[in-house]
Amino acid sequence: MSDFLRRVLIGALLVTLLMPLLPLLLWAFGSAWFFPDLLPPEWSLRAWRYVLTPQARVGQALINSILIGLLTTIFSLLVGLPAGRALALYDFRGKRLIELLLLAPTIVPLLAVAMGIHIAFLRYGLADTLLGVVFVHLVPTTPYTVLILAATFARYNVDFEAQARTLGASAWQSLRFVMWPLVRGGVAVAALFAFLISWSQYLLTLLIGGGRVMTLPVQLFAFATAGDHALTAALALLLVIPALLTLFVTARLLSGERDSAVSAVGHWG
Amino acid sequence: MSHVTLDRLSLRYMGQRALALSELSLDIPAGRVTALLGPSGSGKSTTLKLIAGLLTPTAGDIRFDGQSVVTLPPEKRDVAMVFQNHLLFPFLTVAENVGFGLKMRGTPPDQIRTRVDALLDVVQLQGLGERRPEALSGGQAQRVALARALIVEPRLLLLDEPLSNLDRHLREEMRQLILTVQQAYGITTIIVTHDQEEALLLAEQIALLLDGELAQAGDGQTLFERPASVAVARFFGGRNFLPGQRRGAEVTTALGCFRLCDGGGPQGAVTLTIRPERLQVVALEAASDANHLTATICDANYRGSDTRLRLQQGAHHFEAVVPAADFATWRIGQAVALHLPAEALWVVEGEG
Repeated sequence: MSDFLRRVLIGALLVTLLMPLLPLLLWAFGSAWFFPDLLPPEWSLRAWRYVLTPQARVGQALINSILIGLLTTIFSLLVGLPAGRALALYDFRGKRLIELLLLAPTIVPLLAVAMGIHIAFLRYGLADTLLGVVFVHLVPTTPYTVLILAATFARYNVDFEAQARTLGASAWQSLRFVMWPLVRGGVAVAALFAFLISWSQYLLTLLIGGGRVMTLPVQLFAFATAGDHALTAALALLLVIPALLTLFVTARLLSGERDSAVSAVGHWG
Repeated sequence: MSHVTLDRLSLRYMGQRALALSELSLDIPAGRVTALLGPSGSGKSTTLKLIAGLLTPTAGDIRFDGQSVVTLPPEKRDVAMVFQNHLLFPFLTVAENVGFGLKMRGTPPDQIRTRVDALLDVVQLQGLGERRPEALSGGQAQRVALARALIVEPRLLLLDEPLSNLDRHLREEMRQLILTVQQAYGITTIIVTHDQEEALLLAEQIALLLDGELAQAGDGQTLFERPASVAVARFFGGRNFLPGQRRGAEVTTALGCFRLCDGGGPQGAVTLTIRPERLQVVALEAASDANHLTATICDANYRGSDTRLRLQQGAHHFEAVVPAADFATWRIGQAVALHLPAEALWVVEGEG
């Protein structure tokens, strides 16, 4: 592909990705904007000033969103690493069934699952708690982390570990010094997915958190229902920016990697 | 330097009924090269992994210098293995690969550097330490893998098909390097190979495995010239088998009576065998009476350095390798005499 064509394509991609954000920007910084004006007649920071006040409760929502995102990511990886490895490297009875069960949350409507879980969580005291929200976020994130890591491990040669062991590495050392460098790219992608899925979760958070666990998407819907376009737009931008940042940082990180992880991502996509 | 004893070693892979390895008993002398030879699926790589500790035997024992090691994990056995496809860690440089074993043992970095340089010298790759494995040729990668195994000064060096991924001209070089290094370090070495020539050239002792069982162990000449069974003879390229009844130094077959040099060995129902190179093809009129049979040439293949003749007598088939220059002497369909010199005849028990 010629350099010019490549630039055009990347430019087109960026435009289609970023164009939808333009109205958000206009809403967030404009004021008294009504039909048929093409652009807001005046600009103001009212929405942003309000978002930063304590009564908007955006700060707490941000902290909750980050905390829930990180915890969900960690738990997803704790499940995904061994599961992905086992699915990719070993043959065992019931493997197909487990693969199907892993995919199930992406097929079955989440709401139906969450209703059932809610009853159980009420009994265990997990309803209306941050930990409960983290657990329910694992339902949509785990299939992705497992599948991404299974794809990563499918390209991983487990003989490398046997080789390390015969050179004097303990079981732990062979994981730390041989497996980890070979799969960390895939792990980064899986972590990114888990975090972003958790970050944008609204329905599950609302249902299990019962409105008490406030996250950015929940707050966003509160603003949206209140009908204040400027506030909604400002918060929506707040919600999108960290996601875009993580995406770009990870993409940078991955293109710098020399080992098989990059191609694992390529294959996954 | 360690003397290794395999004692009725058996392995059954999970979920399989047949034994991958059945009651293998073998003595591997210290400081020598032993080859585990056999076709694929014969259990030779399984045996190597059992010795390395990568597999746990279903039954039997492995002893290093009389000490059982079956309960030890691989890293505690002090055994280094070089895999067939070199398995250099792609995320490390050549020098880091070679120093890997020392790093795992907690050797200080400056000592590792000195040892790595010394080992790269041994395998004639000085100055390539900063390269990435993907920038190496197949032969270089295999040499790095050898250096990486040697640096930990293992009591046992295990080589899994070390030459089979190399081009023909590189093989000779690598073979020489293995022998040089083995002699310099005096390290007990076990080589797994499917290539009889490789085994004959590298090893002082050869253990031939067939279908997960030890078929015969001994030096190359013994296996080649005095096979223990028809299967062993066939593996080493034996084509001529003639069942018969033996009494003393005489074997009576459907194609006549043949004299042997001496009366030792199996008696009764036996199979007479002779290597294709030792079978002499002569014109009918030149044949004497002793140890001859007549046959018809059904095929002749000129192979440059020699000519291979296929012959037939009734239901019996023979193969003879004669000088290349004789190609023109024989034609297909011609009746000839086959001379089976007594000193070239060998007898194995049973009817193959």
